[in-house]
Amino acid sequence: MAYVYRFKEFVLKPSFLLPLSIFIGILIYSFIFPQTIAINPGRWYYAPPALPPSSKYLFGTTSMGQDLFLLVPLALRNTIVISFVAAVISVLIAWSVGSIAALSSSIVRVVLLTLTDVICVLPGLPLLMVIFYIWRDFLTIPLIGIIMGLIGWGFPARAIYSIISSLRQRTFIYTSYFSGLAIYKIIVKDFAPYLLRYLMINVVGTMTWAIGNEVTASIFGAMKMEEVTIGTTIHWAMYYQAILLGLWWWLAIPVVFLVMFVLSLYVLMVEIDKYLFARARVTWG
Amino acid sequence: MSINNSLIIENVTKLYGYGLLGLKKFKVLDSISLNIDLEKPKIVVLAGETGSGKTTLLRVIMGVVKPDSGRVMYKGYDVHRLKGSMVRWYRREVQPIFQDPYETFNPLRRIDSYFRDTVRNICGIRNGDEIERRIDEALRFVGLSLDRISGKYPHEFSGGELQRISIARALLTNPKILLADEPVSMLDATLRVNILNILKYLKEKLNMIIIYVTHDLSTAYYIGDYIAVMYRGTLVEYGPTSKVYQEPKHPYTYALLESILEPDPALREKYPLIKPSALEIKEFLIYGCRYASRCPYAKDVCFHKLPPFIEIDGEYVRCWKYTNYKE
Amino acid sequence: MARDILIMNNLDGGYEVFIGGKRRVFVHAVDNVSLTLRDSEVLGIAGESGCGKSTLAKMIYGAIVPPLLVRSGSIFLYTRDGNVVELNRLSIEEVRKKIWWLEMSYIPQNSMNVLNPLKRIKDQFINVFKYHNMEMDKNEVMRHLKDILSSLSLPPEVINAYPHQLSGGMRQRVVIALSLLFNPRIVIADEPTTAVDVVTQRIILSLIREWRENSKSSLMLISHDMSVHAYMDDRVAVMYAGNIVEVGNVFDVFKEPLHPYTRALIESLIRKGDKTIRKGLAGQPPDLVNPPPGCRFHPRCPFAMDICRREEPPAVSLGKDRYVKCWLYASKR
Repeated sequence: MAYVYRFKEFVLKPSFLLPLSIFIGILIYSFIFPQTIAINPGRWYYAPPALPPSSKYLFGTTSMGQDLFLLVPLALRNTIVISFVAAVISVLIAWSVGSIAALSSSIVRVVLLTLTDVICVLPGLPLLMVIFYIWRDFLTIPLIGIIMGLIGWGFPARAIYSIISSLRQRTFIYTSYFSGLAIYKIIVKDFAPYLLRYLMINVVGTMTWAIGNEVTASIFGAMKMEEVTIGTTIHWAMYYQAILLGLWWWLAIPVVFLVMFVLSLYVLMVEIDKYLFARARVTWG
Repeated sequence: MSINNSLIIENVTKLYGYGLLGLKKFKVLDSISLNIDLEKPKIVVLAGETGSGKTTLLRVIMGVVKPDSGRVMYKGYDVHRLKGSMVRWYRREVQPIFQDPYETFNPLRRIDSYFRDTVRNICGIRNGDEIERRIDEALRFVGLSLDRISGKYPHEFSGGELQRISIARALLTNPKILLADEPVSMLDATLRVNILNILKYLKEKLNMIIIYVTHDLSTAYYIGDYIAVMYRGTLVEYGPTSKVYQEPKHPYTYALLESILEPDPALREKYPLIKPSALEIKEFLIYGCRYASRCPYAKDVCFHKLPPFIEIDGEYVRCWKYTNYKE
Repeated sequence: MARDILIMNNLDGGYEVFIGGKRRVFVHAVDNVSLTLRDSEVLGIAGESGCGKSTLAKMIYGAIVPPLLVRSGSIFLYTRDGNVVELNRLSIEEVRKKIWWLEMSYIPQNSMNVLNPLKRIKDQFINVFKYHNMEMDKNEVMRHLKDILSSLSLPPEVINAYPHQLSGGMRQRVVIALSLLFNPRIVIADEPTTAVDVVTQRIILSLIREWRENSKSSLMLISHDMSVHAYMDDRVAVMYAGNIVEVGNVFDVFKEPLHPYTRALIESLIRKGDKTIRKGLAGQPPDLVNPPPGCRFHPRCPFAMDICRREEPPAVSLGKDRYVKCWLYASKR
């Protein structure tokens, strides 16, 4: 009575195709489209200021004379790059620490877990804000991501540690061993789906965490404000009283795109997970 | 009984760490010694309550848990010091079946992938047709066939079928020893007997030794030729099943056998009401005979030193009573 | 003549489960069960895993929360002060306040389902007193506790211990002590000895028997282990795939099982000192989402007839307290 379906069925399901197309659409808009524009959208006063959305300026313009239709993809791109870099760093560190801790002797394990606990307990946002503000002259977009990754790997490391520790004990690992599989083959065949699932959770989770921190830090001004990110855009919108002046598009459009990005990524992950693990689910959702 | 055709467990001890940094140790297995002759087919039952160390002992024999002292010799080779192709050889000679049929297989993998892996890697057969023939042959032994299992996932089978599939997989390499870890405890009563009958049949038809771990003493009697009784990590009595059941020598074996309830209401009056003992905690930390605090015959020496194995009447018992408490 | 104190009439229900997030299926775990529990008797419910006996226990005990639901039928309880209560109509708060621990107690399979791992044993007992608004002087409570615990052969140190510091057998005895605290008239024990070893099982069953002899309460004992039923029951009901297929005096049922399933069950039991080959049953219990039509046992029954495949058999009465649900015993039309 399983809800198993084949790969082709999966790829053509509307609940998979819809978030996939939104996701790919946003990526194209953020990464490919900006290559085609000649000017730097972050500069000021190249367009008439404070215009609502119209046929000429699809998303309207800001008080500083920027065309939102050109500004938003750049902002999205930078924000996505920051969060992705943070996710990559976090995965690299968390997975190394977590798996070494799970597979080694008591002393090494205790040392690594204590280190992980220290990182978990660090107050992320305040620390990030302080670092970004002090170093704001030296920050680049990738560097912001790296710093975030270095601060946020604590909880994923703990999770990898527990996943690998428990997988090691499971009886089917012994069955695979007695089927003659070498250790690396057991890791690929038996551990891989569970690890892949966590990899997706790790990446998406860290990305949303990083996006959240970036936006919050920028709103408070603790960021290199010259860079164009979703957070800095919102900061400027609030700084220039966009709501009071009725310039709703300046705030709404970037936020809507951000939410669509995160949501489509999340739904994609859920659908992939459902497909991978359908055969393990028998009578409950 | 030759060394080259026996499984010899020599003084195996396994420690487990607990407390801060795992520095405090207690003995999960304490100087277990057992000799099993591989010449004739037999079923050896390892019986004991939960916490007796029987599953750990089975894992030591399997080769996946290393003893802290002592060794396991199989046909003259130290099981934990095998290298290279000998490791594969041992996996051919010894195969396990586990308690929970649903945990025995990865729910995300197809069942036949395990069979193909076993035949390819351990038996070394590459020819596709030959592989299928072997798999089908093994499945027929347990009343199934290759078409029934082809392409299916574990959850598509019932517990009883899955356990039979697990046995079939173990048979693929034609092992000498089958290590069965409570294979029927998760099955229903009417299915249990079927699996037990299969094991008996395998023993006779394929000339195998089956080491069967259980806490259920009625199935132990039904299926076992020899029985080894374990208590809190020590082996207390070993001998032919009928002898041990009729004349249990160790006080623990006696108490255990007295506690088995018969499935016959007419016999209920012969069970007097018994009172439990108060001391259950910290029994693992005693260094002498683990049963001493509950034993009606315990004397001073029992609390301090583990008794040696004494041979009486075709059985081995570990109890100071039989040396008149002299060391 | 023993009085009925708990009557189940045509009780029908099960679990509503969502598969794959969408499809809703109904697991028909209890199918038209009618059963009575009398004063001062031990009624055993025997059956294998998945037959619905735990679901039946939960319905009786009043823990009817989704996904469990009762589709039809009723459960009547005759309380100590002579009233009749329809248990399935009460809300869960009423059941908690008025029925649990006082009229009916529940001994679960796993003691950790009852004990709070964060509280010492003595606090758990005191909480039960407080919850039922029984004010007792603290010292008197402690003395009372020590008495109860020593009657179950538990050392007095247990009072100050946390649950994880005790062994499984001791925890199970503590839970039994808790459930017997207010001397309820009915105790429902759901596989009380499955999680413990043989020696502890013997101890626990002896204690329960001793308590029953002193208090004259009724016990509904649910277990898949037939030797437990042989040792403890006065009457036994055999369940298969949600139906009660046979009820009778325990001596009669073991000596002369009437229903083909009961017969297969008794025949597969291994007796001490017996090496004769036993026979099991082929096949496996049916899927309770799509049970077979007619008698649910017919696919595995060696005596299945045509009518068994089409119609559900009636409950046939065969004399004193003996019921079988099988076409073999129904009078031919």
